[in-house]
Amino acid sequence: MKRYILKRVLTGIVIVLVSVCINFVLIRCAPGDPVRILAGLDDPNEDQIAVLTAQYGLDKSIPEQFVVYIGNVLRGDFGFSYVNQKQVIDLIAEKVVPTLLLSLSALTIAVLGGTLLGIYCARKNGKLIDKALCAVSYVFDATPSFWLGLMLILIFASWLGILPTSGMENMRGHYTGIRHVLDVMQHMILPVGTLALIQFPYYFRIARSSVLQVMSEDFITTLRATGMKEKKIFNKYVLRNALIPTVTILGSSLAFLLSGSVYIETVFSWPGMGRLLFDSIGKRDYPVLSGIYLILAITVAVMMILVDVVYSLIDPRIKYD
Amino acid sequence: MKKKLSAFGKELRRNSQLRSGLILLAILLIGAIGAPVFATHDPFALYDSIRVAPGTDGFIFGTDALGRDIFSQILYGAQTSLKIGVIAASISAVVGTLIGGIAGYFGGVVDKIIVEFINIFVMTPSFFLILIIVAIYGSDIRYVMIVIGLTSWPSNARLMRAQAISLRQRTFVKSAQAIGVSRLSIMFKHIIPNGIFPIIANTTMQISGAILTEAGLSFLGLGDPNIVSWGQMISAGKTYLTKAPWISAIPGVFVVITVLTFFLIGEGLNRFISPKMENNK
Repeated sequence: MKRYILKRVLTGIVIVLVSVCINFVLIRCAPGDPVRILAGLDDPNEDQIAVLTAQYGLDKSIPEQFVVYIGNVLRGDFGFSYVNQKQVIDLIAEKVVPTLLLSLSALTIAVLGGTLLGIYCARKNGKLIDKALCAVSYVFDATPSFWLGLMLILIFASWLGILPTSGMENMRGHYTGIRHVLDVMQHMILPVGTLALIQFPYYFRIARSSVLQVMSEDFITTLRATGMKEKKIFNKYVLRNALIPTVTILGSSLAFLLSGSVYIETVFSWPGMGRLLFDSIGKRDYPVLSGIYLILAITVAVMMILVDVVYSLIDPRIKYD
Repeated sequence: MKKKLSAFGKELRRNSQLRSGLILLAILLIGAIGAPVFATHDPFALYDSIRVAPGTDGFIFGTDALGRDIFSQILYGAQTSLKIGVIAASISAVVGTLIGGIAGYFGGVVDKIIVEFINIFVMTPSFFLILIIVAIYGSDIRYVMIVIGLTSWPSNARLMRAQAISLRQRTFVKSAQAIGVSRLSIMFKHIIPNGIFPIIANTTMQISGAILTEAGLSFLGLGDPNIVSWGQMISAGKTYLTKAPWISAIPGVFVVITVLTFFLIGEGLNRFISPKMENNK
């Protein structure tokens, strides 16, 4: 067991290192010379360029620069955004909470809703409701999240006029206390709803097929032969085994969730990391792009390892070698 | 061959997913290939009728904010989507098959290293990698296809590896080894051809993923500006959502239909390979 956890942690460290390397190479090989841009393109002053090159450590050899870069990342220094004149880590820190609020709410709804519907459909296997919900899940799986967001804005904000179009709070409201919370919640309905609708098919299909899978296994037939009540078999044996795959994919679905929130935040002007990413693309603010990528890579790796370890604790069938 | 064809015909009658998927694909292909014939206008031309509703002035789907004909853009956009989907997924299939085939057939240390490599690759958030690469190095459509292809091969590699592990135990592979056929030629002549079917089904599904990724990149402003793309059309209509909702709505509907088409074909093929799954559907 200890060996298994150790192995997973080692894999995690390798992943982080690989991501750091990819990042370094991508930024170093990017076209354009930042120092020349900083020094002014019209009338470059060679002395100034030399000073700036030395100031940013760009006169050192590539391996030296790489060591400096790794040292910086380890200290939590992900670079400096020239566009925003701020440390990348500070920029990202400001945006973490809104993104977590949005994506975790959507994840909760998608996992609960998708799993419950999946279990329900598995019990109604082959009936009309099952077929209809399967079709719906395919359609949402095929729908681009940003387009769904736009269509929901069109229907609920523009035509029906019952929900706000974008943002996280009413800028003119200056609400405090409970009114502020209600205001934010009202602004969350559309973005969270869109993200949850895009994510639910994933959990729906996994729950549905694993319930069906477990129900067709021999030990269930044996339990039936012993005369145990269907309800008890389902609640006690089928459900427990069928929910394991959902737990396993939670870690890997994090990247999927965060990529979805980039689109949703862009569409709904939600002040989170996705929106920051979008703005940074427009402004060609590479340090922010690479900082976000690195933080996400680390988070995803940590989450997946945590889930793997938890999973190996729940399911004794996992082999540790 | 004749036998195989008639088996496929039988499958088509039985397998409604595969059937409807292939019919939709045929329609899409006709639209995309025949775009120059069917297009009523030049997709890049700016007409005087700005933001006219579908059906007016001979513009079947209306025009966008610059006065471009949406119907013709949809037809040319189909070319882009299909091309990106098929080429990116093919790159993924080739890379995945080779890596997975080598890992599964050669086994041993090679296999262990490749499996670890795949595990690491799966755990990096590929969407953000694609985003950064395209943002930094430019949004040429060729880059987009290559980058999508090179970040989505691990699922194919896993499938091929599993196939290769089971195939290498089979008598015909053992016999080939016994008469001294080289390992590489066994891999290309026996292992890959016999184990390719699940990869074909998975690749079909990946076409969907590639089309969605391209649409998303275009929506974020990272599309190739020199081509017509459905994602760019949706993005262009965003500003006029309330006044001219069709500019964004119509291309989105086509993205959904196209992605669904490849889902249906992929699911249909999967069912064809493993009829056991029928109980689970």
